[in-house]
This record gives sequence, structure tokens and C-alpha cells, in this order.
Amino acid sequence: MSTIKLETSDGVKFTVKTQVAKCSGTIRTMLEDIGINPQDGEAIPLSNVHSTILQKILVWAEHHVDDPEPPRDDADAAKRTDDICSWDEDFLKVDQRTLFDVMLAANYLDMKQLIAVCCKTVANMIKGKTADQIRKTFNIENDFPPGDEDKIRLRNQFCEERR
Amino acid sequence: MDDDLTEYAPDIPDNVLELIFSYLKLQDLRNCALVCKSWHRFLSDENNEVWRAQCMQKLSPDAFKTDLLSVVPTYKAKLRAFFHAWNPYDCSRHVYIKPNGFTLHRNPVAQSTDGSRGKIGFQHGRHAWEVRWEGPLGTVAVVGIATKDAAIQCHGYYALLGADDQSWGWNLVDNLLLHNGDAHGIYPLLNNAPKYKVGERIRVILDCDDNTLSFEKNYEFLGVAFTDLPDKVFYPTVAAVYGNTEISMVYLGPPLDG
Repeated sequence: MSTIKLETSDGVKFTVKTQVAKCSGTIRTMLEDIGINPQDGEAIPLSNVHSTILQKILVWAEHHVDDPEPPRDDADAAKRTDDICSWDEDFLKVDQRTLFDVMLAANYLDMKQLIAVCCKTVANMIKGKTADQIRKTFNIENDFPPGDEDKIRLRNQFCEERR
Repeated sequence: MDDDLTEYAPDIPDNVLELIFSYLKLQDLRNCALVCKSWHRFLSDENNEVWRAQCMQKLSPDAFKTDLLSVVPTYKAKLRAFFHAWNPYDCSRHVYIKPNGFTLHRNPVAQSTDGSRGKIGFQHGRHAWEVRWEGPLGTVAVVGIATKDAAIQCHGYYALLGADDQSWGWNLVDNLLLHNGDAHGIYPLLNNAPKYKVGERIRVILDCDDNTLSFEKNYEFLGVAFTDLPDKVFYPTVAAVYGNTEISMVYLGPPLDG
């Protein structure tokens, strides 16, 4: 079975099955389009990903490597967030920092299914919360100048959804 | 550890923010716009994918088949206009709202005057909306505002809007202003002002800060029609008598000055 080497931002080298590494669109492109030849034994540099996060992402990729291509979303239909499989749910039961690091690394590595499941998890943490509760949840600073919030609230008044 | 989290979420790149927001409902998006500048900036782009998807989920494809919504250029503005459109639960029983969501149709019923209110009323700020008769006016065609207490249907052919102290209207047929059952003068204040022609755009401008109601026709400001409006919640309203006539209303937001 063919393998390739990946090198993370902190200089750790991973030997990975090519098929698993190809869960990443970014790596796939490097191999197929740019013509990096993994047989050379040269490691592909992933300068935006730390080894602890890559390790985690490889566990995910290993588990999902044989997943069929997901059906294309109807872009105009309301998207669900209650369809995260239980394995992924457990996989993402991590501290928030790790969740965001995995999400951003998945974005860098172009792993659509993993980004989606991270974004669904974050969306579920936002749903039903007030702005203040969202800020508390994610430790975001309220950086609006005084008065701005009232103006924004007024502009978005119609968003009080009615059935 | 807590310190490490600071500024973490705001650093999410736009394409990931877009994906997160695409899983949320409108109410959650409203709250997200109030979280921080960075999230607000993303949601201020009224034509981004998040607003496009919301717009497409809520609006019927029929709404895009005509130039009806061309006055509200962004997806978010179209969505907002829909939330302000004619209220199918607050109109005369002889009126139905067409599948496009923005146009009412008055059934051909003899001896009845029929109106409709918009879904959202106003008590604060300045608001403009566009009204367009898509069919004949008949003998009475009144555009204006009403509170929830004003009647929305009555027997006979009658200037229902402006017939009591809960409504204010401009009868396009004879260019008269109406309130509390009285004619409040000719409008606009011109000798032989041209009458409304089917298809022309009327812009209604309600200023809840100044308590005034004004109109524009074909982008020309016609002057203040009513002053000293009471401190009440006003709804965009029309009253019509002609069989099968159709009237569209598109909420625009705060009026542009000048």
C-alpha cells in the first residue's frame, strides 16, 4: 500500500496511507496537479497545521476514508444540523480550541465533510442563543461602539421570524 | 486557557463563517449580527450566499418572474420586503395574496370594498414602501395607512381607508386626502394634477418621528399629506373596489433623503 509523508508546522513527520491523505483536497491537488512525487520520500509540508491537530484529523480521515461521495445539497433548502453521525459527534467532543483548530485545519486541507460537520457543531452551539450568550460561549469580545447595537437591532427587526 | 480562546472565533475566515451561518435560521442570524464587528461585517453583505439562501428558502420563485422586486436590489432587502408584504391573515375575505407573496388580488364581488394591511406595523423610525395598481382603479382606490382597529372590508363601494379616525388615505381616483370620513383637501396641491395611471409607482413615506405621511409618484415627491399623526402602530394599507384588480406592495426600508 502506497504511503506518503506529511510534515506539520512544528516539524513532525507523519507517514500516511496515500488514500487517507487524499481525503484532503489540498493534498490531492498537490499530488495530482502539481505533480509532487511521494515516492521521492520527500514530505509534503503542511505549514498551517500543528501535529496534534493533524493527528486528530488523520483519525477522522481513516474512519471516513471509504465513505461514499455525499449527495449534493440543494443549495436553496434549509440545511439540517441534526444529522451528525454519532461517531463524528464523539470525535468532536473536544475543548473549543481544538474544535476550532480542527475546523480551520480542515478548511486549509479542503476536507469538505469534516468542515461541514465542524460547522454544524458550531452552528448548534449558536442556535437559540442571544448575542450575549453567543459571546460568552465563544469568549468573543463585544467590540461595538456604544449605540451601534441598537441601530443594528433596528435594521434587522424583520428577522423576528413568524410562521 | 481562557486567554487562549480570546479572539478565537472572530478569526474564522469568511468562507467558514458563511458555512456556519448557512446552518442557522433568520432569528439566529439576527443575534449573530450583534455578536461582534467581524460577524456583523460579514452579515452586512446583503448579497452574500447566506442571505441568498435565506431569500430563496422564503420567497416563491414567482416573486422573481417580474420586475416587482427590482426596487430592492439585495437578497436581504428582498427578504425583508417579503416579511413586510401583504398579510394573508389581515385582509378582506374577498382578497387573496397571489403566490408571489407581494400582490393581492381582489375577487369580483359586487357591492364590497376590500382592503389589506401589511404584515408589520410601524411606531418608530421612518419607513417607505412602494404600491402599484396592476389593474383598473374603479371608482375608489385608496392608498395609505391604518391601525389594526380600522375596518378592512365594508359593504358598498366606499373610500374605506380614511373613513374613520384609525386610517389615513389618498384616493387615487379623485386625488383627495381622506381621514375620519372627511376630505382633507386635494393632493398633490396642484391645479389639475394628473390622475394616477395603472402601473405607476406610488411611494408611501411614513415618518413616525415627525408624525407625517407623504407620497411620491414616479420618484417625484408630492409633499406632506398628513401631519400630527397620533402615536400608534400604523400598517401599510390599501382599499379597492374593482373586480379582479391587483395591487402590489414592496417595503423599501428607510426612505432615502433628497
